[in-house]
Amino acid sequence: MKAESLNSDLRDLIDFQAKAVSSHYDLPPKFFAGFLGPRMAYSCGYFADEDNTLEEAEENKLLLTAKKLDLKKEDTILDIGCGWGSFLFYAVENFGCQAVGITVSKEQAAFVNSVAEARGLKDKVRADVVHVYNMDYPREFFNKIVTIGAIEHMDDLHRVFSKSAPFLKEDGLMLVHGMTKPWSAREEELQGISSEVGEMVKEHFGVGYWKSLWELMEALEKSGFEILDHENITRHYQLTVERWLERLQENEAMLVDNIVPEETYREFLVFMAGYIVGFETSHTLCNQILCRKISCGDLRPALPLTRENIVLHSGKGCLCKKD
Amino acid sequence: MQERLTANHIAEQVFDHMVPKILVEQPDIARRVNAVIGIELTGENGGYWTLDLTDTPVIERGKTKEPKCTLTAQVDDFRDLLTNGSVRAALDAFKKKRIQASGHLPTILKLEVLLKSLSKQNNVVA
Repeated sequence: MKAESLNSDLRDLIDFQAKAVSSHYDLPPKFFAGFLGPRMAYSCGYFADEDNTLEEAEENKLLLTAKKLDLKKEDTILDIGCGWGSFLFYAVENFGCQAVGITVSKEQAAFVNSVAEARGLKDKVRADVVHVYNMDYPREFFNKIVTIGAIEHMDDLHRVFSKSAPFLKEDGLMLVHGMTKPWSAREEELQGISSEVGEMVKEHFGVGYWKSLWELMEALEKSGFEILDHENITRHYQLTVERWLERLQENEAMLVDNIVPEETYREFLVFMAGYIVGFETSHTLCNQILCRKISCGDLRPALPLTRENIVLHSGKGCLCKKD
Repeated sequence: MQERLTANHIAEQVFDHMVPKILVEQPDIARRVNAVIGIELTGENGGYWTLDLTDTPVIERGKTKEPKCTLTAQVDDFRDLLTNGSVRAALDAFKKKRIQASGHLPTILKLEVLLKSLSKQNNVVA
């Protein structure tokens, strides 16, 4: 009886989260195309230089992610919360990998699958509409997992990573990229002190759970992952959203009423501005964590001795070259 | 001690008296905003104020410096905002275009703390 009740609660939670998150991401893709870069990456870019364009920052981020995951042609990738497929297509088109993305947004999955068909990549890439708690793939089917800008919608990171781990081969790599809160703010939330702004942000994105960095790392370790590398990319996200906001304002005439109501457009203006302030004032942080599935007692395959292969060096322009 | 605002002269009471006092009592507010902001209140007893919230905060009538951003509203809508004092009400007003903003939008949002301080200190007499 208790198990049935728990399952029912979980089903309700999954339904709630899927509907809530979809309310944000099921807005027309043309609206998001009105402020995102050409890859439609709705997450932090990576700036080799403060003057990088949004397009360059998108390419840099994808390259950096690929380098951290040590992508190879034979890789099979799972992208949890794949959005409009920016990383899926980057991995398939630049490295020849096989890739599966999951999203709760029907609009996003339809977009990814239609682009895959249009580009003749149906046998290489697809998006499934499924909640992370319900995903079901063969054991050790993937050797790389990535989740970019999606953990913010996930209530229980331990459940997410424990659910993901069996689908990953032993010694497979996982890259987790997402926003966190400083511990002081998170501690207040855990004590039941909610901020009006925090609640509004959650409503804007349908549903949101911003954890602290150590909670994220704890969930990874407890789920059988060894943390290999961490990079704080908060400043990169501030620069990214500054460019989104500029583009949103530039495209106002094209977007308002043609694609979304003016109130929706203006709500996005405020939330983007709010995120810029949040990053600037350390209310919100962004991190990339690279880890691998390994158990205590397992032989440790050799890793590079330095971070040289997982960094992008600063400099002018785009770093988007694959060495 | 609470200030009692009269609806007729709310703009000048706020910007000529209350905001300068708050900025002295809470110097962190200006330090965190660190920008010049224009406030343009239209309608009866409205006006334009320049809030220089940089090193030495100064509030002046008229456009005395080039603002990084400008907030524009009807006096009545501004009074509602102060009376309510919530960020959610401010967002709703912005979405419905009862508050307009031009220039660097993120800087306007940094006025949240000032809005909350004002809201705590006043009650409006209709």
